[in-house]
Amino acid sequence: MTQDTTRATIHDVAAQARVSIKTVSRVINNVKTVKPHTRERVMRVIRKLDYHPNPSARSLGGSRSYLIGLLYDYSCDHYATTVLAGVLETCRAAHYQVVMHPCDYQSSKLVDDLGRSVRQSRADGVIITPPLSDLNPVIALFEEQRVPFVRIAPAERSDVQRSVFTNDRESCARMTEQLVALGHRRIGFIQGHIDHIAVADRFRGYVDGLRACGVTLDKKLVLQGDNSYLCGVRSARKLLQLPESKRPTAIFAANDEMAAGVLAVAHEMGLAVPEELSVAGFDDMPLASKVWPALTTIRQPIPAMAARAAELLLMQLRGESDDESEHVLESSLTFRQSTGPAPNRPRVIADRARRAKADATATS
Amino acid sequence: MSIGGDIGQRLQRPTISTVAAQARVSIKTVSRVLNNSTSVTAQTREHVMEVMRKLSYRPSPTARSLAGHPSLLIGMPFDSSAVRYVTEVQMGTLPTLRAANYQVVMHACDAYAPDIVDEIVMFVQRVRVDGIILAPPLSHMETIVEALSAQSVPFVKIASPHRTDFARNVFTNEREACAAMVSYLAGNGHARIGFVAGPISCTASEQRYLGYLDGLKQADLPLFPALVRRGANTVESGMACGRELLTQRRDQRPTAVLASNDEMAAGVVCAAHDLQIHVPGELSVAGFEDSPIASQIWPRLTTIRQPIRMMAERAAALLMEQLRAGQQAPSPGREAALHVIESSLIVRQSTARVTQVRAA
Repeated sequence: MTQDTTRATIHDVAAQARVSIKTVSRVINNVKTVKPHTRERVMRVIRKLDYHPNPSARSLGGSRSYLIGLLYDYSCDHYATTVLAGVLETCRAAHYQVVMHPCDYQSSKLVDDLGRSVRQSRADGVIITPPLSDLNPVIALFEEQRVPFVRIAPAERSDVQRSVFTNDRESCARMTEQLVALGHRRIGFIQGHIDHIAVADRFRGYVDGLRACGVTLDKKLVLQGDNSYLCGVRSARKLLQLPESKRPTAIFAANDEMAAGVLAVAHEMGLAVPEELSVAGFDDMPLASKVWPALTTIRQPIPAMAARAAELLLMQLRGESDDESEHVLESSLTFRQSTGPAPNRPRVIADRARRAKADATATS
Repeated sequence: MSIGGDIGQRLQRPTISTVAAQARVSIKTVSRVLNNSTSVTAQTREHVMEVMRKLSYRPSPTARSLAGHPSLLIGMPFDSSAVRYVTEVQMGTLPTLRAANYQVVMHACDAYAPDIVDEIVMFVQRVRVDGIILAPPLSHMETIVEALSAQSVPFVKIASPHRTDFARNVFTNEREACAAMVSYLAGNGHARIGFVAGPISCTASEQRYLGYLDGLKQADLPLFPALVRRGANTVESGMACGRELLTQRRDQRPTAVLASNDEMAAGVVCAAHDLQIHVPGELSVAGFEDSPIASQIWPRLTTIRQPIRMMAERAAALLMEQLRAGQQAPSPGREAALHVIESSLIVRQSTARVTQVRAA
């Protein structure tokens, strides 16, 4: 006796649950219009009869896989997780699922690998995160394969119907202006990874901010970073070892991880934050509120950008178009405890002297 | 190929026969390439792939499932609060799944929702996954395990506290590792070791609390109820617990605090900074997990490294074994090996030897 001959069908479920076939189908497809108690009853029958919907029957209804691919670089897995949360929120309501496509953006086989894995997963469309969203060969691949896509934060402001942007440059200018307003004139800047083109906008914003306040840019206070905590540590050591008259009183890092590295160096050197050094980051990652003192930073609306990207993709899949000219989600300044008024130097020196004297008496 | 030219190409979706004809191979060969069969030579595969690219050919998902092929998709449902954990799991499983041409479908859910079991069953059926990987807290839930077994879906569990069903489980030794941390602190002269526990609903945090008790017993230290607080696994709750523990009379407050996760340990460090209590000079703080923040706060945290990626790697291998064995549930009669990946103690700057409390 093979199981197949006695296998429960959708008719059996409908009959036992005393509902129409359409209702069973709605329960299976998780359509919201089914009342909870009806849903519960149908589910009970499905379990009792050990009913398995025939997957091919479902897909015969259309050639869609109801899968959306999320493309990201291995090194950005935590960023991708935040994006995923936003994408899932939108997809869940529309009954789409998300397939992860991590890749190595520096690999010479990138395009082939991506093409193969997206084809295999049968994704209906893909969401492309930075730095992949800036790679022309990747974009060309999906154009060529006619796979619908949406890009998150590409540097180029073309293709606005299929891109979601944020205003990094403007918010960095505003953060710099705020630091100047607090009395800081020597503001160090640690740049993001050179391959992340959109992150370069953050440096441009810093330059804009200085210019708007009439503060001259001191190139010695600008260092190239790579987005990592360790690079924040290295850069901070370099900046804070400058003679006191040349040393920055504030350091603005192009992401929170590097800013956390700056904080660690300040603690190590016994510099009080924010009394002797103000530190600001960018992104408002969970880390920003876990370090001490909590980081002043710029909140990137990543989940909102991701949700919008998913909406745009679903619209493309439905063949709809929208009339909004550009999708820009604003980032916002978040002030916490790591920034404050620029140190009044004579007072700091006096404090130091007092502390040194106290230490000397304590050890004698 | 009756319709030629530009318009025809655009109107008519290329089929498997178009690809076969252009590549001058059989349809069967194209199908083998699509399903990643190993019986195709690298050269033929490359050639067929090239033609597919040229024609922008995409296999029809319907045709594929009608032929009874596996979906080559592995489902990873996860609790929305455990995003970091599941990211690690995903990274750990990737090399193994990739090598076998499987892809991961993520599904966020609320582990504590009343209809969680139905939701996971529906996910399995809708996406038609070939297998499921369960991470905590879902891997702790017997109801989900029963439902998946009833559906005959191959699955594996990571870090379940229940030491049963060895063929489908990868364990770690949280309890023992926590006891080892207490021994380490005791070995550094700490006699008043505080503990910030996780929420009572979390099975993992109960294991860690038991480990703390074991450690005290092993070191012959008494348990002081005033040194134990319960937090919510967040930095804020760790700060609140830390403040309560550290504002006790100096000779009664702990000289070391072990927290059930790194977030709460980071909170205790913040509370100490606020109260101007030097870490580790006046207070040692240790966490659990070795999450990224453990090495991004100052001072860097002594903690217990949870081998999430390694557990995930092993779990993926176990799942592949099940799939290769013809999607059969492992037979209970067969002796299966016990897979335990050890957690390890990582000593950083937040712990030190106890200093004598100077009499006021």
